[in-house]
Amino acid sequence: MKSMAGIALLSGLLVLAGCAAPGAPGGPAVGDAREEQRREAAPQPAPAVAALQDQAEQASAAGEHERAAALLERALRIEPRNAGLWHNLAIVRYRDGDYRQAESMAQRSLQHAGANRDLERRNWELIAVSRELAGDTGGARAARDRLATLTAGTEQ
Amino acid sequence: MAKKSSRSGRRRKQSRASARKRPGLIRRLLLPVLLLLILVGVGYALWLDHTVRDQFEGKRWAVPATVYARPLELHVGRSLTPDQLETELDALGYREAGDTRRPGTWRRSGPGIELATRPFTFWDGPEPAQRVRLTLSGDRVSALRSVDGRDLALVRLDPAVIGHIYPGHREDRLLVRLDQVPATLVAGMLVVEDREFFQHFGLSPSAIARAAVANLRARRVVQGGSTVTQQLVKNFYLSSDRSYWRKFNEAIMAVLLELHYDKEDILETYLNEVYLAQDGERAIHGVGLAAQHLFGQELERLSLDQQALLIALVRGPSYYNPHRHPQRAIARRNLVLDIMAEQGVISTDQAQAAAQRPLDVLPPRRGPRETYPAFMDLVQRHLQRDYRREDLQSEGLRIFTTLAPSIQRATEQAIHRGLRDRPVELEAAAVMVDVDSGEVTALVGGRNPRYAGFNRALDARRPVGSLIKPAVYLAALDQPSRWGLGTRLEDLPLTVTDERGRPWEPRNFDRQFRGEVLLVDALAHSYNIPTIRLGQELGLSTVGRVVERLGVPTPRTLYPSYLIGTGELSPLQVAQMYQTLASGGYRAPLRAVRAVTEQDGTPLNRYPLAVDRAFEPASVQLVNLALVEAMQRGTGRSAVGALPAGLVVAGKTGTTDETRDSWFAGFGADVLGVVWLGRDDNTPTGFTGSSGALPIWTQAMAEIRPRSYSAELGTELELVWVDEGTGRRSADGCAGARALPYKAGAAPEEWTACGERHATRQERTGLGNWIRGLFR
Repeated sequence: MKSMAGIALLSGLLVLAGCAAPGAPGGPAVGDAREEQRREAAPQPAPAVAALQDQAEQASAAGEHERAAALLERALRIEPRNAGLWHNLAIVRYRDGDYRQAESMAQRSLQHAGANRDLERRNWELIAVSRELAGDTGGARAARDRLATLTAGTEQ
Repeated sequence: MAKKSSRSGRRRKQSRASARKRPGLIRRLLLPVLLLLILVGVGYALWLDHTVRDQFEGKRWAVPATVYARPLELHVGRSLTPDQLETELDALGYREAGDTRRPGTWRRSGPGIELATRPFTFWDGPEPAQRVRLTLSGDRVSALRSVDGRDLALVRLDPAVIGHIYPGHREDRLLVRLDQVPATLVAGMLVVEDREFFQHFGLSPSAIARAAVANLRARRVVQGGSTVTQQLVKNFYLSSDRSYWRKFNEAIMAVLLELHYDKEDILETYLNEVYLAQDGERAIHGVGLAAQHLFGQELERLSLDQQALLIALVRGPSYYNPHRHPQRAIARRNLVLDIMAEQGVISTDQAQAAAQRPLDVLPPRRGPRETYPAFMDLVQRHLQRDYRREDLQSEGLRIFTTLAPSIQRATEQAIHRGLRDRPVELEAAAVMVDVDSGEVTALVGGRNPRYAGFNRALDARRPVGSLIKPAVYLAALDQPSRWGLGTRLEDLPLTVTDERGRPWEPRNFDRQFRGEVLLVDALAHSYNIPTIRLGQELGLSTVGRVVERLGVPTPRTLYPSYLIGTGELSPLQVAQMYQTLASGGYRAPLRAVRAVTEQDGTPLNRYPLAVDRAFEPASVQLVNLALVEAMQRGTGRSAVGALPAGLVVAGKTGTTDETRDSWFAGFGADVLGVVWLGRDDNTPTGFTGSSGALPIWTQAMAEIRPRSYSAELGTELELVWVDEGTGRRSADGCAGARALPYKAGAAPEEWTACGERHATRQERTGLGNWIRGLFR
């Protein structure tokens, strides 16, 4: 049961979410809070972060998880409140089997996700499956409930 | 040999005398003595053979670990003052020069600088050498382009070397393979040092003869007949005394070495062994490291004249020191070039062209290389978990740390200025941490940051005073149904039982009683009595658990006095506690090391970012906003004028009994700093947290330029008008109304009359209103 849930989600998590990077073309609209944070982090959109994000995606695609993580950490030192970077680092940790860190980092991503519903949903998915695989069935259920309200669009 | 023969001559005379008395004895003793001599000789040769092979088989050198600062990453928007940039370039040993053709040089150019970076292999991949133009404005990087005008997204400089982990001796080298050494350098080395290298068996009779003739002619030693093999044996196995016995051993061992190993192996070892330069206390051995040290270049890329200088230095790194004796160095280099041409290694034209070149060595560093003993101590303690001390001293590891040279310098200078006119017994320690990653960016262990003694930042455990209070308030604010920032706390005389079972009457610092105060003010103004009441209501064990979740240990038994800071922590532990607060409740174990690689860049260990969600971020944000209030109107307000205008920071002072300890811990969005002042004998200092540690913290932060603490409320918090006198809900415009953040839905239920009349639909408000609220 546990592994079923894991595998079901795994396929969706195989690649880092490039669209979560700020400034990436075609990315979902981000909320005001996010905008504010970004302005605070750097006066201009940071191509430096986008460049590192690209490299991290390549590393991840090549199966070099730890290198991907190192690159994402570099990007986070530039934009520590970038929800997309935290989400991608959570995915790298998830793929490593470090479910506790995966959950913590997804939570961290949620904290900065602002009104980005899509990212919010993906973080809760990751939290749910990480808790499940870490043996926290109750916590996983709570995360899925949260996910259900998000997907239904009924969250206050 | 002269000494030896005279000795045996004497012996011969003596034995002749005894032989006259007892004829036949000599004949009877001859055979056993001869056998014994042969046995000893063979034994000795075997021992030498063992020595030769033993050291050559295994690891040939103990190469010290090199410890690096964090690399400076340049990108548009990065906060960087001209002072910080200069500090970083000095730490890197980058030289100001007329042009930037050579990696590791920079020059001023218009409003910015032009910079030639050095190539470097990092844990996550190589970084090429680049020539870039960097413009700073408003203390930020405003433009970053290549010299040919392309915009660059990100440039990572090579990391500054901040130290080495040495074994007993201080030799350093960068091991190279023979095929990495330019062919002309190898051939040149041989025609100058040992022409018959590929023909001889370790010794060269013709070279000895040639040297003897030359020495006789000059009536002094002008030429050694040593082969490269002998030189290697001398450096590798033997002491440097000039006895004939050593010379004898050297010859035997040279032959043994040649018997066991091939020429290429011996030559490669020689090129790595040879001593070529001195860098302070550090001896530069081998052509690989010498190329980097002298020319700032990879060995493969050395020009002919540079190669010739390396060969020249073999005969006397100090005598031919290119900085101190440039004329001698040039003369010797050109002699080497002549010999190389004469022996056909290079053409005469090449030699003549190279001889015209100036000495192409790097100018000496602007200042001595700084040492960071307190930080190095922290690095070694972290590495102890995964590495043996011998490996750190001998494997040539590369250790990538988190030290930020510019932050370290700002912290050292703030302590220096703060203590300049104070008694010498007044000591200090400081820790700077990157808020979100938990990386330690600076560490000072005492008022003299170069002195490698007692590391107070790690080892001085002192009562923390009021620095503990945020934990008490966090425990309360984590229960929004019972406490909020507007909850009124009693501030009246109080008697509690102390650890000896006796009554204790805690007092506020100013010895006043205020009747009742708002929770936010009790923390911002650091009132003791309301804090103790609150802590007792929460339960000491609840507070203790919060402290542990913040990342630091608690005493086995807790007494009420713990609530106002009798618990002892080191400055580093305080930094861990406040890192959890500063990051919004995400505890990141403090780290000093990012990664370790082998000398060639092969990754060994990485110490990744780890975060644990220790608290609900909204609860922590409420505490932090009270700490922002402390800096605006509470115990930290004296700092406001000394900080850059508009910079929002959060912080807490701490003072212990009779001013024995003066503490301050505070943070912006990205930098957290902890400063401690006190005396080693624990006598009073006369400083409170706000008169002693705070000005030092402030001065450091004014240089470091953190980003403003983000006072945003997010979706979890809302701004609520509260009546100061009653703690009831009020409204904008009512007398005594004050805007305070509350967890959504947790605002006081009871209303004041004015509040009920004027309340509009409560809107969620952001940063602006809250800050205006602070400045009412």
